[in-house]
Amino acid sequence: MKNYITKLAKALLVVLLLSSCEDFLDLKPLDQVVSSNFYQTEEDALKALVAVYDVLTYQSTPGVSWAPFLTMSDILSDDAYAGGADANDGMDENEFNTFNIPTTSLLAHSIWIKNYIGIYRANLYLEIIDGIDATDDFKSRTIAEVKFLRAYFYFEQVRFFENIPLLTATIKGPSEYQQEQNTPQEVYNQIALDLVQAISDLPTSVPAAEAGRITKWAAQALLARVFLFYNGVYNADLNAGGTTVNQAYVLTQLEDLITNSGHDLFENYQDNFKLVGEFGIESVFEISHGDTPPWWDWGYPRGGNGNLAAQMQGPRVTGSQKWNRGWSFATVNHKLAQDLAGDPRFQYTILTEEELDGTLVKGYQHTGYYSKKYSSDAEHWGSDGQFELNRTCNFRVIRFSDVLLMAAELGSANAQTYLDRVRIRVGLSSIPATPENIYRERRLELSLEGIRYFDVLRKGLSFAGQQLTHSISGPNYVGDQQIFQVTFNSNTKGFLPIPQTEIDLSAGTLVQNDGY
Amino acid sequence: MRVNFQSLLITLLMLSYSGYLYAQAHTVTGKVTDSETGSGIPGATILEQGTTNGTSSNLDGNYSITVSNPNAKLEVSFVGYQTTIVEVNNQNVINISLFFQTTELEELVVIGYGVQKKKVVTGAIASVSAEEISATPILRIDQAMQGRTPGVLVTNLSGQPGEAPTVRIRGAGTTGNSDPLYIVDGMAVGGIDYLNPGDIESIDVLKDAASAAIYGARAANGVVLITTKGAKKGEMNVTYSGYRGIQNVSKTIDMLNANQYKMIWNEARRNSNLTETFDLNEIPKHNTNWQEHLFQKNAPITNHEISVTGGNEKSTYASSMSYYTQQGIIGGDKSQFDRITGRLNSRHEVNSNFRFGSNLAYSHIIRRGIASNQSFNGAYSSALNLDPLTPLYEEDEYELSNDPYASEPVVTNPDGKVYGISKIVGAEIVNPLALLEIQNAQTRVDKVVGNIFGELEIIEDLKFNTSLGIDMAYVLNDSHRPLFYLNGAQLNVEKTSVSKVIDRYYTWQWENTIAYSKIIEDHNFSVLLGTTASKFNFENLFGFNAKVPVTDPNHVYLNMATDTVWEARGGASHAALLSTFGRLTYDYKSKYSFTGIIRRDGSSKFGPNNRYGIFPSLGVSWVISDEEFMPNIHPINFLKLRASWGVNGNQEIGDYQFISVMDYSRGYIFAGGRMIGASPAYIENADIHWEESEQIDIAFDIGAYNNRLTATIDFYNKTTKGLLERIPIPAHVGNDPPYANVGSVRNRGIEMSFNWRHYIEGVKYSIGINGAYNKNKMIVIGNEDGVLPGATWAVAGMVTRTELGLPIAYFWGYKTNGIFQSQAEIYQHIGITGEVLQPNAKPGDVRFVDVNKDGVINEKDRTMIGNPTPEWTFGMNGSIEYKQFDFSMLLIGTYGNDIFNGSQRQDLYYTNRTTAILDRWTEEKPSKDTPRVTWYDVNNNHRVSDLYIEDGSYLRIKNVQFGYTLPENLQKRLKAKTLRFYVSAENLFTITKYTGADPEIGAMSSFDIAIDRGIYPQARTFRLGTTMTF
Repeated sequence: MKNYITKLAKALLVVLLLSSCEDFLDLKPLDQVVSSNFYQTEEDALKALVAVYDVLTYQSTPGVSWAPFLTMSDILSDDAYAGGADANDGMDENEFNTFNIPTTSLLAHSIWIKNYIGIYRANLYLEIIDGIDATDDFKSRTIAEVKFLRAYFYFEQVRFFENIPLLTATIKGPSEYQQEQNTPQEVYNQIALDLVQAISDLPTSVPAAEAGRITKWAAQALLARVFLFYNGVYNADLNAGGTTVNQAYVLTQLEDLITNSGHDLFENYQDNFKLVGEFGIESVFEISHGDTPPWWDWGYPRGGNGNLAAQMQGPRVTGSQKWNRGWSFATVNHKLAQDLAGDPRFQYTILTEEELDGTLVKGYQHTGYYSKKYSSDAEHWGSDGQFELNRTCNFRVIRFSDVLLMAAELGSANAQTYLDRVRIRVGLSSIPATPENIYRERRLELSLEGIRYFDVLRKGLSFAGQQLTHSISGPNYVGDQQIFQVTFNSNTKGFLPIPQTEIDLSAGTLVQNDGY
Repeated sequence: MRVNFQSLLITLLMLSYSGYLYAQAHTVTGKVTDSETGSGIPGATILEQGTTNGTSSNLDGNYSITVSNPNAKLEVSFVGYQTTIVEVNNQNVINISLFFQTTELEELVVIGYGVQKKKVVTGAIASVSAEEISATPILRIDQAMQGRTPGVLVTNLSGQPGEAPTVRIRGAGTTGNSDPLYIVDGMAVGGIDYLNPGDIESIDVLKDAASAAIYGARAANGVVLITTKGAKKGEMNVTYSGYRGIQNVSKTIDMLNANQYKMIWNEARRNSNLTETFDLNEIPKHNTNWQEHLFQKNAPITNHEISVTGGNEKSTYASSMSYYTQQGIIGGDKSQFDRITGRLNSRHEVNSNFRFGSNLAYSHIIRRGIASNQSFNGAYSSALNLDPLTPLYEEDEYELSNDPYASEPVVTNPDGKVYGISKIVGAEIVNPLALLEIQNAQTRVDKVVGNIFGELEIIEDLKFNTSLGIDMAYVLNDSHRPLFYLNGAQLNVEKTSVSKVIDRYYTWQWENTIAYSKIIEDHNFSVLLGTTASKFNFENLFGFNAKVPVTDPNHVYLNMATDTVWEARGGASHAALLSTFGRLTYDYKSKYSFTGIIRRDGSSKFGPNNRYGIFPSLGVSWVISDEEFMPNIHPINFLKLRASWGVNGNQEIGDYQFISVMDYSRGYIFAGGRMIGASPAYIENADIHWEESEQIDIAFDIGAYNNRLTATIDFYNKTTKGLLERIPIPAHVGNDPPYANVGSVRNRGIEMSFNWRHYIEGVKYSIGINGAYNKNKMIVIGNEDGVLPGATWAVAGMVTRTELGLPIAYFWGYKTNGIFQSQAEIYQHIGITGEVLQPNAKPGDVRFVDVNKDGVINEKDRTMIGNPTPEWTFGMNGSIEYKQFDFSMLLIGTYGNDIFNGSQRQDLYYTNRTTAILDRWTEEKPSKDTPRVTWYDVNNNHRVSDLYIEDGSYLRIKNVQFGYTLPENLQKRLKAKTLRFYVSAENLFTITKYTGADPEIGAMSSFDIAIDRGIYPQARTFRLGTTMTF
């Protein structure tokens, strides 16, 4: 019997010993890498850098609607309506279109979330890069790229929401969750600072295989766009950490770009929206989309790289050889069609229903016009995956013609030449480079590229009221005239509401924008 | 497990008494009988009170005893019966009838790592017997608890076969996973749908923390101990039981017919100054009643099982096989559950101090399901919202020769008929039959759960037990996406595709315990010490390709796909738990009892900062009625007071949440191709620790009328602290939130059960009523707004919230205050500063309440408009037996819960409506509760408000059964030991104010409770069944 007890005691001892065995419980993920010891090599840093770039292609956020920058800003503008299959389909978009945006708008929230994801990843990169074993050149170039990207995300965010928290480091814990909104001035100055620093460290050219990575020229052009908007809305100069970014400063940058970058206009205007023109000479900054990896997951479209805006804006057509089935969002306004009437760029800007082969299903706010620049055209069908999620057309964020027009607007000595270059390229004759003509040329040259809305806003609220309130009817409009009437709400100054969810989570730290 | 100690005791008693006393000898003879049946009781003990003089009755119940004097008292006892004392009073013949003792105080209750006599149990344990389990045709064993275990709320998720019901023991104890821990024959299992209910001997629910503490870190939501039928000594018994049944929908919803539909939508257009869409004079070509087409008629349900038990003195066995198949009332074989199970339990006695045995179960499950409660992709949701003008099948040649029929891959039925497509309603509302036609998902499970165990009695009363168990499953998920065109928004016209996922789950568990028990006079001790180690492993493989030429959607394999978009993924995870525990129980004469438990758990789910947790508990009980001083309060004959306190843990979060991992799904396409990026998947929080649930339980167990009436009343207060939640954090943090210990929830309640059993004049009957009250309240939420987001509905965004001071997942929306009857009322509806609150409203629109009194009606006015969780749940069962006939009935119900009726998509144009809309507000016939119809809903009448909230209380006749057992002589002629036939009806009748299809709506998640998105209703089932033993 005693023998039994001894044996048993031994057995139990083993079991008890096992229970203090740390190894048994210290389990690490089997199929994933732990983030705390990830950032070591240049290769790791490159992955972290790509993760920042990745956010450029986000056009939706999980659990929230599709809200591509391009589609949203054009729907807000007087270039396009909401559209969609029917009034239900485009309900959220129609709230944008009619400036009747609830603070709970999922589209606004989607934009808000997206940009802060980009900002977080950029801030994280700037924090981890110190500990990376990499060359100084690698570090200075990638830091500059990340600063550009951070500026890009902040610019989109502050242009849409005006009053936002400015974060230049990642949040370290719950005690830092609450962040007050900064003034627009503080945010824009940070953007300017990031861009000015980026300009000095970014390369002037990149190897062909790296096309798509940020160059100095992209930073200069973005700085000009930032300045024009800020100066237009707030009537002030920017302060980039002591460097005053004023009209002269920006113009100098643009002249440098125009003279030294090697960027130029395409011979054919339409190449800007074709595969042949991708990462071409006219593209100063371009966001890349594609069908790798082929994507199928409707629940998480941002995992793929397709251009969702192009899918949304395509005509709702079946049996067509030239157009794949789109969703007819952002139907183009007859107001734009009128302005472009007789302009050679009309046929490359607006897709009319007469051009369509196959069977067209007319959706909500059918105008007979669709965007031709970003659309479900055959050339950009993805070769793989769920076709709606794999459109391959890149988004040309800043084109050289925009650069020329910005330089002209900022009072370049070569203003007339610049304006002429833009017009002559499309076969138009020279007109005097008056501010009005330059501004009007922007509308014709850059329509349906996500630029118009902010160009209108920066001209002041009364101008915005004139332009954005409209009820023009077109020959092919379908539906009650009532659904084509848009009235700008100047109480909001054209900004979106701070998402209600964010206000609720802020315990009163975040303050809602005026007019909401 | 109920063990009859009868034979053992008889033997003991026979041995223990010896010798007779002969003084003033007086002999008494008589018969001991059962008070109810009148038949003799053999082996009853007849003792002269105050002496050791006694005898026992013979086989017929007759006895003879010589007592010391003619005035002696006889104490007559028998296990399971009330002990009775009679005065001899000089009589020579005394017949004694004994009352059956219905409290089953001698019965053993499973308490985890052992059993305990019910009388000395200090915790709150509710049990369900095999008999009760077999009363209803349940597919899953958890459904057997419904209505029978007070404090255990079982709500079927929907009527779809095989879906796991929502089980909440004493309320939702966490905002995370609130499911209880299931222990089957000592093995913690992940999911119990593999069990054949016919194999189950008992279910014992450990409700209070003190009882559950023996399972420490996983016990915060209660523990359900399931014991399978064990081996029995004796000759071989073969039992067949089976039934067949038919299922039909019990309630459909009255929808508008074609003319009413046209009239309503014309009116809506008119009210917005738009032209009318429909010509009312035109006779509609179709008037489709979608529900009529959707619901299957007489959907079959079948169950067959055979069990064989038997064995000799050394080895015993119990084995069984079963086959269960059930088709749903929606979708037929698209919503079907099939299960084949096999089981072998055996026990072997090697010698007097060593025993071993094993339990082994194999199950094969085939599950096909459809979305059972979904706004998007829900067949019933579409049936309720699709217009009646669309035909079930489009048969018009002209239509068929045009788009979309001519050019799109429209859906056809197996006979080639083309399903109609609405020209009016779009978005996610589609032809529900066509939607069902393209559902091809299927899950197949092969699962083995088993353990081997040995028990060694080292010295007398000291036992060592070891048990090694496994739970492994292969789960194969098939999915095939055909080409289809349901409408312009719901389509797949490019490529068919196929995907397969295979998951492998493997858990082992090794447990060792040492138990010592000792009786020293009236003191009864036992000590248990034990350890558990378990490890969970998971691995999976996923494959995908497109372009599958398919003729039979049920047989689609990856090899058939011809595209080149091959995709393959696979992952793995693991988790471990290592625990030591101890339990001390003590009782004095079964009158004063004490139980103390302590368990220390270590879990791989937590980081080094907080890896271990300690979970203690204490319980005491006092049988007051055993006290000398206890006065005899008629009719109470038994009274026990219990009190317990304990702390349990909950660790049900994903693995490794204390560290962040890299997400490689980032990427960007440069000119040279796509580069892979990586960033942390979420913010890191190394400090997460266990959720801790602390609970106090105070209870009375009462017996009265000779224990014909038994009652139990429990009071409890349960607080769970440190709730683990991915609490929403501001989006400007820029990454997904980590798990954090961020809240506390309190559940307080009362549970009561009353059971009456009686046997009178050949009629044996019983009635049981139980009820439970629970109040749930969040008492801490650790983020700034004190709010956890909840479930969303359709496109309206969030409709439930969890907020400080309010119950989990309450309904959130606007409050209304009637309908504006006139323009004057609109002008009178003003805010604090006097401005008109709803200037855009028209008479007939909804009056909303400015809840926060800030002078505007906006998002901030949303408030609590309902509570999905019942205040009261109750169950009632009754049974009656007379001669060969038996009858039983089970009623279940809830009270004080609300339902969010979101089955109507009022946010969409041209959807069909219930006939309730016929009572809408019109100028001619003003309504006080239903707003007018409009096209432009400028007043936003359909925003989420209390108009969507309905009283969800109900009382349901869950089961009625009527049986007939063949008389013995007939049974004998058929060589059967028992042979019984029965008919039964399930969900026969429901009393409720709820207007939707079914008020029983389970929780889709902790925050998504009782939202009706077009719930797949439960079937009304009629069955014919038999049980026969040979």
